[in-house]
Amino acid sequence: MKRRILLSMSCILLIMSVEAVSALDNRGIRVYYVEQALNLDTAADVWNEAEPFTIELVALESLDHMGATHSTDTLPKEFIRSIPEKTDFVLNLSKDAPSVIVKAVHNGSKVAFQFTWADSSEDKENSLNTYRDALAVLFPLDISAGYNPSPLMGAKGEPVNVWQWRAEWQAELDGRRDLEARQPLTEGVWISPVDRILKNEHPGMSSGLINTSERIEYIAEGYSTLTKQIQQDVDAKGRYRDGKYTVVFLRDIERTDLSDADFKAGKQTYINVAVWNGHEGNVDGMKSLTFSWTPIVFDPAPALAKR
Amino acid sequence: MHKFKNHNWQIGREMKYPYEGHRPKKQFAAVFDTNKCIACQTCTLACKTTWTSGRGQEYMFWNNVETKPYGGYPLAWDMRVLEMIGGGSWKGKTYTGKTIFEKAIEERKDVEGFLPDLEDWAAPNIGEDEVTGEKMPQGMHIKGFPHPMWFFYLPRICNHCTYPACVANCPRQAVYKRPEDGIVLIDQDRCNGYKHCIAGCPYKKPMFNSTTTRSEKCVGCYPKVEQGIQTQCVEQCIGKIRMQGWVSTPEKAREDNPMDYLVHVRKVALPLYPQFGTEPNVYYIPPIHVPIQYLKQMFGPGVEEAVKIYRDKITSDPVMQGLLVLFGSSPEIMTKFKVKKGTAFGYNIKGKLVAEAPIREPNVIREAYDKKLDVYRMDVT
Repeated sequence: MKRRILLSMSCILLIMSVEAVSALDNRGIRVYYVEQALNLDTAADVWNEAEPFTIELVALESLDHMGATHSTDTLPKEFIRSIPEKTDFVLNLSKDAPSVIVKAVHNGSKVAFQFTWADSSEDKENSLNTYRDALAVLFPLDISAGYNPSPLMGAKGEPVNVWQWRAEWQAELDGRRDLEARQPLTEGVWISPVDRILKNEHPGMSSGLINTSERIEYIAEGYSTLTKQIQQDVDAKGRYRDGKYTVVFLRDIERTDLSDADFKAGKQTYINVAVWNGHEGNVDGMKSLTFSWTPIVFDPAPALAKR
Repeated sequence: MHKFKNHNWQIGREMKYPYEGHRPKKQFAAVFDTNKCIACQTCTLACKTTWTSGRGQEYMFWNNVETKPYGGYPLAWDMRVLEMIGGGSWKGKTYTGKTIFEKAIEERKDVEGFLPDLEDWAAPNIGEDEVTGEKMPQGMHIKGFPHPMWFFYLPRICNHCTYPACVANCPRQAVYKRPEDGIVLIDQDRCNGYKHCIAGCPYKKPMFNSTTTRSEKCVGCYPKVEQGIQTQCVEQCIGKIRMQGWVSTPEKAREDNPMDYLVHVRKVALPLYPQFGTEPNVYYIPPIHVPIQYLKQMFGPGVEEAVKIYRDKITSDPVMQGLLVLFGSSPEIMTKFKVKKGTAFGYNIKGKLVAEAPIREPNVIREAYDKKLDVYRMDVT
């Protein structure tokens, strides 16, 4: 039941490989060294210190349209029939996909990434018939010879570290969730105190969103293996303003568990980005993404260099 | 995708399914006698107050009772799936149409299904208590079976299927079937709220909690079942129409197991829409007054025989009579029963007697006048 993405059109492969090569040559994301404390402020002055880098995403189309508002009607029937049975998603180049502007800074001990992309609507509720906006980034755990995980969720034995920010988590943390929007007609419906009492008595047992809202960090070894990490080492914060999302991730440069991406000042690693547009019914593998790693290069840290 | 061929005894043939079938050590099952259900909704409320009283669960009824043919929670759940698989037909006891898994293969899907709209869940039981059938002129008298105009109540919970479509359609393996008792659960920690399980399940028993942003479903009251006690909806049923237990595959059926006796030996209890292909494990004694064509569509080809047995042969079958009076006679799961001299005995898994019920209640007539209290009684029987 592995989810597979078909790259049937050779022209797409060609475009991608050219893009990948040019990215490796001279266009990577530079993680600028700054001498100041870093935090989750999405509009902090520190972001003026870093040059933006744009990653162009492409849209995936789900062949299995149930469960989302999108459908396969946009794809010609002959095309769908010609696809191998095991394909769940195909590229749809005629569909709009966002460009994600990436900025990155580090101060020798912490690293922060800022992602900005345009979205015409803020969709912050994952409810019965609505879907929410989200952004995910992934990194290889290590950069070493023979270790070459797929930029599409990694592969068996070659795990990737995934960080995901979701609009509904942010809304929950900010106290901005809208009951009427997610459950129309239930505003004012009496809820038994049993629910509240049990949740207070057994905080660990609750499936309430707030307990898991800090869960940002995952590990994956291929499609359908995405698993939350017990030790969460990444903080995130997102804001929607003037038709744009800005999301900041913050982590210590030095990793404290081996399920996390290995970052080192002065070294290079890779990143991939995916964006879900809730308004378009994006959910699960139905999203916009890239098919190649983008290099990220950390500036050397002077303090560390002196030692 | 659908790599594995598994045997589905309810449709009498092999069937493609995404996973290799591993039958659990024992399989959760229940029998509901639709002839006795009065739609009092005590089961619905027993379940509701036990499991779904929280925010985000307002619209949920893991157990619901709907009126057929017009009712459905969510709206037209069964008709929509039947339409999608193209009706389907039977040759004898073998289903020759397509299951939801087989139909899905044609369409490059894991499971054929649909995600109901918010409104489809919003009005359970509203406007559905209507008869269907022929015209009923004034003074008309209904003679015999089936009735020319009819409706009936269909109580529903999760079927804890042998080949669950919710499991098949979850890309994250967040839904699983327990090997110890066959109960199907959603791992709340792994669930990412994609709603594929809801779209996949033909019975629409997984439901989405918009507050926790995860899917939830009937848990088969597993904390009770683990203690050997029947589920809330079964134990609280005031009409005593339900019994819960463990069902075997046909070749391993035991005559003294209540579930096996009803499902395999007398074949009076039938699966709900077996043609979907999930091998559901809640079995129904079909309503005897409903036209057979409709029942065949709902319960499969065994329905004619089942109706005949229940309607005509029960009177001369003390074992069946005894078993039916054991329904609702004990909160404990009865894994064994026997009927002797007009009394039925039910035993729990340890072999302890937990229910003893007479097939015919002794009829006592009291004097209308009570000398001791000097009163007249109206309730003499």
